[in-house]
Amino acid sequence: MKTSEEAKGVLGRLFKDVLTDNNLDMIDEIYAVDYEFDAPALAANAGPAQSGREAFKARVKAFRGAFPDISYHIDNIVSDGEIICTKFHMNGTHAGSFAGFAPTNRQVTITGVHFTKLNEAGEIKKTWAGFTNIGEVLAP
Amino acid sequence: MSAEQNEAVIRRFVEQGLNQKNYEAIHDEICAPDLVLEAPGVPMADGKANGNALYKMSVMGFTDAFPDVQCDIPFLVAEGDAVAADLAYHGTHEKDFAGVPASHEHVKGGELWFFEFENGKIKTCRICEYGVPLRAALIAAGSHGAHP
Repeated sequence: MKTSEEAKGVLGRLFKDVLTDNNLDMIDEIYAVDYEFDAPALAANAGPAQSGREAFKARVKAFRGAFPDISYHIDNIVSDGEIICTKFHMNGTHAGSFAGFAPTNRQVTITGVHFTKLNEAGEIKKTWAGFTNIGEVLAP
Repeated sequence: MSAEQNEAVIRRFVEQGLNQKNYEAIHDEICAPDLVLEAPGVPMADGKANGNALYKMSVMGFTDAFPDVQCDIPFLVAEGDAVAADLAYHGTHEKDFAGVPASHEHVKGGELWFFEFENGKIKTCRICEYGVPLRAALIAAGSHGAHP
């Protein structure tokens, strides 16, 4: 098992390199082949599949389609080496349809909580996560 | 306060406040007066200005609408001043909740809670739902027509 700091480092790469800098190839490095995902199906164009590396890549692309300048930021993070819990926010311009909300072209900040479980190899095995305020910030 | 003490506060909140429905007795003891609440359905400005009262209202509104609710914590991590918990619940929807009339259906769900502590009390709390959001589940339950 990883140390708490090493485990947090995996999430640091996810939020910075993958989600903010759009390095989708890194998903093959940090996600398990049998990755499972449990979160609302927010981006309709991400397709029905929720699990696996390719489904996650589609989800990241769909988010970037809705918020082309998207960036992710960690507000706080705790870990016991296996579970990593991240309080985060994302900033972006709401330029495409997202979670049933039509684009407003406003700059928005969406807050959320993200839980991830690592496998023995230190890869992301499972994620469950949600947003707090999308109803308020994306409303027309 | 240590991470263990903060964790004990959250476990007590769940056991005594949610499962035993005795939240009013512990609210002032566990929540800072200027608590900031971020939760679905709570306008951000209100959660900042009036988080302590809204936290109490939300918890008591939940246990009132789901009088048999039982919660457990499948995952919890406490470190430094923070405690993060996955809170799983199931209960029967017996009264209006979030604008949805009682469906009398048994529902279950999960929420992620991220707490930050100051001097042993909850200073910030951010809540997110995962899976099917509760309000959507209640609307679906109410439309089944199993309990006219």
